[in-house]
Amino acid sequence: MNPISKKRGVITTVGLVLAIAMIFSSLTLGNNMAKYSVYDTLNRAEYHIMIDARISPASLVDSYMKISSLKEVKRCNFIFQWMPVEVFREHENWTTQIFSLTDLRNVKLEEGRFPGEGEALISSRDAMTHGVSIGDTVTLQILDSDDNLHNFTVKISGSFSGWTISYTQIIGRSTYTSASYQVDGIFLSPQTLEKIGKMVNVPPQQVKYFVSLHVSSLIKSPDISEIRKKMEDVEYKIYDILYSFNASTVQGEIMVEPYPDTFQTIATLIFSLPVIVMGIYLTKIGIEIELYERRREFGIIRIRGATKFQRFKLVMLEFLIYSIAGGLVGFALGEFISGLSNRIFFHLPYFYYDVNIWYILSSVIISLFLFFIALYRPWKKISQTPLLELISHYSQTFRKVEYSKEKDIVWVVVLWGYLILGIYIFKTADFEGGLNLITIIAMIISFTFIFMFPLILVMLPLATSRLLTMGFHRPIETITRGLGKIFKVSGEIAARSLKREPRRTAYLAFIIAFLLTLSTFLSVTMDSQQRLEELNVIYRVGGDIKVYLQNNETLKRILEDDSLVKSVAYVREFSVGEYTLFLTDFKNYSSSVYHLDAFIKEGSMDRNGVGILVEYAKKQHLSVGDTIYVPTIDGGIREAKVSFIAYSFPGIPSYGGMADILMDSKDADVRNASYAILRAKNIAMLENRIKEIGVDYLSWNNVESSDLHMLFSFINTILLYLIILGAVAIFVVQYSLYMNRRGEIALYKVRGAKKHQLSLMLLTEGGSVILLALGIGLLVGFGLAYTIITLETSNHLPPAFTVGKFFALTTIILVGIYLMAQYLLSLIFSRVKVDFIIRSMGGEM
Amino acid sequence: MIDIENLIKVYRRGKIEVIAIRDVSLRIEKGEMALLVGPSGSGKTTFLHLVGGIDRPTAGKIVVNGKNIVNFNDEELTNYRRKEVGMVFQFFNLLPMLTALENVMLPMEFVGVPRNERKSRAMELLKKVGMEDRKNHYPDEMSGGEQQRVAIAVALANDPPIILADEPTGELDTETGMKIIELFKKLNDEGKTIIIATHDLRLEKYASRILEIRDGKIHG
Repeated sequence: MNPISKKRGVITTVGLVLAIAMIFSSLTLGNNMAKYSVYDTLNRAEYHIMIDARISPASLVDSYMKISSLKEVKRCNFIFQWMPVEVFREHENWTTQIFSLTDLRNVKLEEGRFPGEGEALISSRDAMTHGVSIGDTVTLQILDSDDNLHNFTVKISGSFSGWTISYTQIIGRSTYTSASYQVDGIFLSPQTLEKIGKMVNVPPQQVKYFVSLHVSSLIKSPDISEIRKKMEDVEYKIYDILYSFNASTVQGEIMVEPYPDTFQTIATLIFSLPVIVMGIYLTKIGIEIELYERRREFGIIRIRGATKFQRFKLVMLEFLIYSIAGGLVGFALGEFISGLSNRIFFHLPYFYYDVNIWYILSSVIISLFLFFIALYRPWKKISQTPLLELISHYSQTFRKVEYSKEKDIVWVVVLWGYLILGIYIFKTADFEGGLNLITIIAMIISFTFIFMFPLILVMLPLATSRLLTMGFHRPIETITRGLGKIFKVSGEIAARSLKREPRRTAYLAFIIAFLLTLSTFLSVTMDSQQRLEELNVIYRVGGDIKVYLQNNETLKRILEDDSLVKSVAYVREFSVGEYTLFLTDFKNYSSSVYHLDAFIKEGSMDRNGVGILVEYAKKQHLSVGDTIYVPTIDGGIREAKVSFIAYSFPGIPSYGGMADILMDSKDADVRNASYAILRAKNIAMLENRIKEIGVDYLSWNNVESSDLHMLFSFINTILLYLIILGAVAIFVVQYSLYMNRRGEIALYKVRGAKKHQLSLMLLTEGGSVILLALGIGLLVGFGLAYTIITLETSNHLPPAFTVGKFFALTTIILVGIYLMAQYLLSLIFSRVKVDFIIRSMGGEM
Repeated sequence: MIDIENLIKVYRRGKIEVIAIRDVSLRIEKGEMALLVGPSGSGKTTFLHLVGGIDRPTAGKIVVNGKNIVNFNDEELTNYRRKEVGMVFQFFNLLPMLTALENVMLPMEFVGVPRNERKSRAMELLKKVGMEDRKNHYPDEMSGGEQQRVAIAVALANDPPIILADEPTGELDTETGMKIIELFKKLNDEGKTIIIATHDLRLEKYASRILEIRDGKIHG
């Protein structure tokens, strides 16, 4: 066996290390994302445990205090109900219930204030019926356990319009809310109830405790199954407390059933596949380079009589060590990068490194498996090489490369044809217009795209790179000459050098083109996804907030408050037949809605005309300027000119009928409108005020999804890998190439080339390959991203394909780092020691 | 004029020190054609590399036209290689991806000679070595003798006053070797200072001086 060579080890295993690292980064990040979904569920839940019991009013406050003081408990609330109770006031009496609760948000205070000790809040209905006012006293008649009656007098501190018992259960991604709205009762403070309970021996009454736990105490361990157990432990502790207060019929319920979104882990692995495949491919190239450079060694041992198996054994042990080391290093690197990604991109509140013996063992097994996949073809090739060819002295002349471009031409034509056809068809297909040739083709492409996508992603950069480096030399020669002019070196020589090693040029061009295709696709998709998300929120909310109007005086005051609201558009809607008319003041609507221009496909908002939807326009063959007949609110019909055609009216939902018409109207106001679209001066403050009064509303906060942040963060991690993979690929492929060309480089120096001339010459060569790959990557990446985004965008949204900041930044960083890696390598090789190389060179170059 | 004083070159091969040049002092006058003869491993190539500015000595001086090249920095040494010396190797060392004409043009390109001028001078040099008909041929399309003639034209590209040749006939048959020898004689007659390291005794009659090297020591 050959002594283990560090250089050989690095060249052959670096791709493998990155593939393994990517696998374990995906697993760790995917698991953490899944755990985050658990955390998010627990965090979203208002309460985690609900306990039903019957308890004496005397123990109500003490039991509540004791439960609240448990270290796992963040917050506790209860709702106490005591019924029936007779209430007397002068000559009036009525039967009602006493209730008390700690979360005062559940009581809609109408007048006065919440009661203190010896005071009560009365329902406004009872107050009106029985003529009770603030400051009056009423007597509560209470029956004790021995059927004796006791009277307690309380002073009325205010009135309420209603009170709610509501609780939400979260099971996985589903949320179930139970609510009971009550309008009657006498509200007493817990302290007053406790006092009554201590004075009179009353039977236990019904109470519901709602307990919220500290999420950090639940997710201490990464084991998700333990979370439920921890919640149950707290539940039992509360049972013990309640039993100690002689509570009866105690029954608990866990209100949150979180489950990890394991799809996250699978999704991250699927997203990582291209990086893993490229890592294996890079390993294959590394092995190929190493075996090629050692071919004389294999030739000599063949001459000395080694059998095929003996020769395999010779490299086997060495490669075994490389792959074991590669697995372990890859595992460590993967965990490190996942931690780094969390710090830079994810910012998850809880992050766990998935380090255990099974993962470590798996990393070695996967590494061995991948290594042998990568080894298979290069080994087969060297085993089949004729002996004479193996032992002949290496001489770099123009080697004829066995390459037939016809196969690649077919690939390029078929795949580009498919992609371009897809883009064209998706742009023009009208699915509402029934079946025709275009929609049939569009449907075929939609169904086949899932299979074609990976094929295009890999084969198109591969075939195009091979074709433009080994088949047709003109493109790369043009780039090389252009770069040569910029760097003031001979582009001609650089072009010839690339031509001399066409296979390696093709390898490098493919790897970089593939990585740039992937980065372009991911970054443009993310840019577009962000735009899509933004458009979707605008589609639903319109402005900053969309509030559903109720006959609520407080809300009216808020909407008219200039310090909170910048502009407001009231939308009144009514339907007649197939038509749904939306009436709004166009001027207010334009100033309240975001990106209205993007939603308008044709025309502009003209107060004399109406707006219709694209689909309706298509179906009715309507254009801007056409006249249509629209119903009026008073039951008539009038002519209206189409002034604009929109994908949808932001903030105004379509009810499925296509004949939605947006019409200018001064009549829509706070009294008759269904909802209002607001642009805020201070969004947070406005949202808080609306939230306080308990009306339904939509805002960016409750419409935007946090999944996009996760996706973005994971895409960033993949891009991080693409940076490393590309830089490493340049080093692996170019390093060994330059090692073989040291003679030639030294000769340039003997002939008078300065270091900077040499480094620029090498940069011209490598840089040309990177630029060619960039061109291929951009084209394929844009094509794939466009198709995906078009498939994903529904008809009610404007085109979301966006080439934005994320793409620009990603591409600049990737190409910049690739060029930098190439330049560094060029600098290193421009400093070769001439004498040593010239002396050892003989006739080789 | 090349003035060499107490030149020493020691190589380190692992833990072993090899003294390639031992305290050599000599002077080669302008226009001389000096022949460096000696067995393999005697230090001929090392001596040429030191004079050619490819390698640096361990001690001593190499004064070429009044300047001690030993004190040159990398930049100055590159300029020296560009303008003062032309190297001819035993194995020709032409760049395989360039034609004969492009190989000759290459050193001029590094100096910044305009393309047209480079081309006409390269053509001139190819004519001089009798290779104008093969200007568009790649090295692997030429015989050894033809490659060596092109290599001589390459060495002459920037019109250096000194030509250093390392076993220029070592790879050639007798007849081709003779033609190369005659070419060197012609260049010497034109005023070039030429130092040739060789085993080829046929060259002796053309040399103005024979330097015998043995174990790094030069006699003669």
